Amino acid sequence: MGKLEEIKKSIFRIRGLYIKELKVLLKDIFAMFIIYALPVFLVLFLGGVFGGNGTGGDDGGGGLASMMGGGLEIPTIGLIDNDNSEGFPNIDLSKIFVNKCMQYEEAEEVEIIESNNQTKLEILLGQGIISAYIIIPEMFEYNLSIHFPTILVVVIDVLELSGFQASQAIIDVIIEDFKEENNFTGVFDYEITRANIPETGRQLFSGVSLFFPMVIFAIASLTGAQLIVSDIPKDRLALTPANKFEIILSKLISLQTLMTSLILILLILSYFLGLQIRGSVFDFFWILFLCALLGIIYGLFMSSIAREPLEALQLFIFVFLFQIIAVLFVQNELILSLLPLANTSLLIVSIALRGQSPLSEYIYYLIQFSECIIFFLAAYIFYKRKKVLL
Amino acid sequence: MSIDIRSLKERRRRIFSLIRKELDTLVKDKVSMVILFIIPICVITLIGIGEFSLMGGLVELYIIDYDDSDESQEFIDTFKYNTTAEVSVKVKEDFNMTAEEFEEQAKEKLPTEEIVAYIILIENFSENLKNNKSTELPIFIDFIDFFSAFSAQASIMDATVHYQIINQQFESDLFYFPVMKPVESLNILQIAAPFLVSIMIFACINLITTQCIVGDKPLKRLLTTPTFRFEVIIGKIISYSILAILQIVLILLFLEFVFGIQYRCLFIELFLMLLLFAVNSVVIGVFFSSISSSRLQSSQLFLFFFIMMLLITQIVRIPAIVNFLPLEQATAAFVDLAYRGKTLLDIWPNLLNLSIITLFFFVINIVYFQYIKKEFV
Repeated sequence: MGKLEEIKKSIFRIRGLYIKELKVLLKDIFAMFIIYALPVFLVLFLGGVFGGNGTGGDDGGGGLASMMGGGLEIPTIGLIDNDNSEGFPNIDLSKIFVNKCMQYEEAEEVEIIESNNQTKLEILLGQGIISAYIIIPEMFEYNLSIHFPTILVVVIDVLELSGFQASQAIIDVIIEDFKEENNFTGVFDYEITRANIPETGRQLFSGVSLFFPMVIFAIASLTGAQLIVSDIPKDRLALTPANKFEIILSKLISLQTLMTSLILILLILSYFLGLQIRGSVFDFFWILFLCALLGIIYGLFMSSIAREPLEALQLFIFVFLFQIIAVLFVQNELILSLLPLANTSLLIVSIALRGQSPLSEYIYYLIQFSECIIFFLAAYIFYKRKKVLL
Repeated sequence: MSIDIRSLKERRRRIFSLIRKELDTLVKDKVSMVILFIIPICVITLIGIGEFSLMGGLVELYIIDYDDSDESQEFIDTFKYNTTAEVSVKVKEDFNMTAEEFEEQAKEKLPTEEIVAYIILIENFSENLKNNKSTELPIFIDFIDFFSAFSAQASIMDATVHYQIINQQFESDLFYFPVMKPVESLNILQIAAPFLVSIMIFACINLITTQCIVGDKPLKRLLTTPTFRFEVIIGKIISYSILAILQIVLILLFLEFVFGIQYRCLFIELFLMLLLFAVNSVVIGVFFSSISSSRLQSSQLFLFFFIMMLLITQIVRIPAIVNFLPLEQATAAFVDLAYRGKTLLDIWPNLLNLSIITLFFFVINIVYFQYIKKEFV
């Protein structure tokens, strides 16, 4: 009975501390505005409200980059026609290919620089003035006329990723269009169906797995990183019956409450901007909920080991930047599985976007739960060892 | 006395003292120093020694054979044994299913990670090849993960070309095998370096600077001395820029001497461009710090700007905005200088853009801190 009474009192204290923490957080109106503005702007940008390729409608181009949902820039491509061969009566096939390129230039989908000097195009490519060049080879028309394939020379600059994607996409489109118009099906008439791409909100669909966890984790851990180290009245709390476990737990719950409302805003806005997912919205919510929880616990851990608010912020940059770069450039599964951002990103793709069962990725949930427990306990231990200055 | 404190010599002396005070405070913070210089080392090392492949690894394919002919079997064998790509092929016999059942299973599995694509060999596959020298080839590719989709598409093209070469079966067609230039840039660290360096400099310097005013406790007392407010701003900008200089030199030297990244420009040119970018990050950071009333607010402003900048430069790329973002300008300028061998003169549009943004925020900082920010009065 005594123990039960103690638990009741503890819950009562946690409730009081929770309300106090929530009030402290909500009191900083400017900070709250940024917390909520960030996800709203994120979804609006990804949803194409401010332009770009956000509506994701299939413009018929069908290139790889447009499938990614990326807003493509107009690439500049060099073109050399080396073909003087004869094959079809009364037509110049290489000229038709050049005209096809010009049609796309008129439609403002590409800029073409015609030349007869490959060295000049190499220099332009090296200078970044053109992002690719095509050479129509000698025997182009003849080979096609005798039912033989022709190989175009295509050189692409890979130094600028956006130009690389845009030029490859437009070259694919021009070649497909040319083949279709002239009935060059090849031995295999590829009928490629790009499956599982939603009809609406493509950009949102392609950005959701990276940017949703990024925003949720960043806000949660950044705010969490200041909760202990910047909490001036926390030392006075030592005079009350509240213990440090109750204090840290109430901080966690209050920030998680805010993060939950933020996740709901993200999901509702995404739904209105046309995000289509194969999995259940509840699963998607829980994935983001867990990401937020992990973010707060990471933040609390940083806050408990930092001596100054600035130090906590620096720890936050370290953790956040390291994860972003790892997610973008590292492919080692072991390293990625330990990073909350990469883990959440994977769970979103598998469970929310692909519609797989949550059980199919239980190992990643297990890692996240383990990290939650380990870092929370570590945060508590460090916080408990901190000296109280009255 | 008032003439004395307004003299150029006195102002210079005060600014110099402010720089010393700022640097002393910053250097005393050992953790911040370690983090500021350890982050680039860790991140560059992680990418430099890590593995990266644009092609998504093994491609899992189903081939649904409705034809059951020697030709269709040969087609499947080409995928299994005669391609240069890493492909794992499953056919209906592996599951003891009919072609219809197998197609149903493929449809179900396509959204999952089990397969990336499936190909249907239609009933008249061999007949079409014999009589028309051409046949339809329905292919279904899962585009949820675009890297795997890209990989699958390339692998399928590779195998079908091999099939045609082995069987000497050709028809009017147009191929291209893109030649990537420059060849040496296929090294992941080399590809990533322009973006990586820019993002690290911006994130580290900007976030540290966001705390320079809002977290400066003795600033209020300092402003009771004969120090002008704009001198404080100038002192802070210069001291944080000095810190940035050390970070830039460390990053560039580490990339060059540890990971062998070759710069096709003068080291000083690359350094000066990055310094301008770092000063830009500093003035933006000072602005965030000036308009914030708590440490949390200023770091959240950083986060807001950072994520939006990342989103616009990497995914949304709205032309009206993207060209005005410092990260975009610095990345493009890095590529032009370090990899294309251009000079500072050649990249003047990027430098002008960065300078205008820097000047704009510098003026805003001075005006805001001098006339609008009343907290210290």
